[in-house]
Amino acid sequence: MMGLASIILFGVAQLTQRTLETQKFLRKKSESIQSATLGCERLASEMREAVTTPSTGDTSSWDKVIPSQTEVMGIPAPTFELTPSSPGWSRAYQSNQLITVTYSVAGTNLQRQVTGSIAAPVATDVNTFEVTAVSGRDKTFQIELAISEQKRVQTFVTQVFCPGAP
Amino acid sequence: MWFYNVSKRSRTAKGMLLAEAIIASFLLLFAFIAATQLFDASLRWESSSTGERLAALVAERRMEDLRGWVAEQCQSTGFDNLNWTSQEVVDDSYPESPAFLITVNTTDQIENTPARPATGRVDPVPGLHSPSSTFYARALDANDDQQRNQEWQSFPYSRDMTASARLVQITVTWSNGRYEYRLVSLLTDSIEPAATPSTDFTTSPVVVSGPGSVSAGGSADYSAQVRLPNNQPIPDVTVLWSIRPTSGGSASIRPLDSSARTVRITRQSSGAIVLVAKVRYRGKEIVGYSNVIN
Repeated sequence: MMGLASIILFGVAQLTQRTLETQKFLRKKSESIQSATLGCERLASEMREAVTTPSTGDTSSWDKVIPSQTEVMGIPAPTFELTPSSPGWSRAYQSNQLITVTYSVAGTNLQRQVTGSIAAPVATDVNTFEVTAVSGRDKTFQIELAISEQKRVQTFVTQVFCPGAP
Repeated sequence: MWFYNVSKRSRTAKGMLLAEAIIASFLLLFAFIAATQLFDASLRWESSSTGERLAALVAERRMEDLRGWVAEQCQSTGFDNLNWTSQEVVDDSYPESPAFLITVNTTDQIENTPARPATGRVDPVPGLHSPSSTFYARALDANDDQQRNQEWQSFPYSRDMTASARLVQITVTWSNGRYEYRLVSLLTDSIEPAATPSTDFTTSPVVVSGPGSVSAGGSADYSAQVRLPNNQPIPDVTVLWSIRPTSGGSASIRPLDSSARTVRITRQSSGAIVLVAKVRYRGKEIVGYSNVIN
């Protein structure tokens, strides 16, 4: 009886130990995936606000409008004259209404830097990072972020359309 | 006697210990099985949670791909003329994530909340309306001014934007269809620029068409269209009409729809008139003129 109980207890102990090891592995994997997906989503969301064409390569930067700015468009007021007075849509962004956002890899971190402030990491364990223009798609860019996890590299790919890019 | 009783209790107690040990073993076994199942469930939940995050990334990638496709296509054709069938795929996948299967469904039948009963309002037709589908209002009598709300003296009635938006649903499935992730979004006209008018506006992307003559007291319908540089029409624009002051005759103008893309001209006196159709599109004010109407 004691032998049987010992076998069962040993089995439970083995199972618990291996499960904890598996959980630790999955936790690490989950952190990597979460870091990569959050990094991709943050980058894509911010790139969507671009008002200049984002640069491609392993460092990508673009200008966006400072959210606290109240007026950035120089749309002329409607007129009721028969001849249009100003048939244009000028983007009257002043330099103090724009900021430059840069994403680049420093060490194993993908970092984000805004003009005049310090860089902050947005993803860890980064192997490679690259932004490319999608051929045949106007104003569309592909973001590739490869993460090192447990001796292997996992690549995350997303795409973003920048309607405000010229 | 006392000794005999103690011995009997001792034998009984040994029997109970064996039974307790067997029961305890079974309890341990059940606990072992329950723990195993909990561990297994924990691993499956972890796996499905990771799958959901990756599926979200795949779905968003496809949605952005469609946005880029709309922008590219709308450079040469109107939003209402896009070939959505080419984008409606079943079990498509990206090479980087072949385990995630993508299905794309689209529809222009965008349902709106019905009007509250006993308010005198009408149910909005499917699609988007300007300025708001929630406050949808339209002229109930076809002979009324279709732009100006006579009852509330407000301007204008809701304008249909039904050709400027499409509801897109992207479904991503994985693990042999065991899990599913859905992303729904409204894709809209990416407002590409109309053709550039000439400096004197004699050539304009706003094209007015209708008969060349209307006798005094008679009526005729005229319509305006805004066109892309390749002459494809841009849908859902709103037109403001007037008669050029230099005209010799007079006429009244009645919009036949809330966007006034078509109007009915009723001549009050003879003489040459020119209709002016003014459109504000993409922040740009553009004007088209009809030919001389006698």
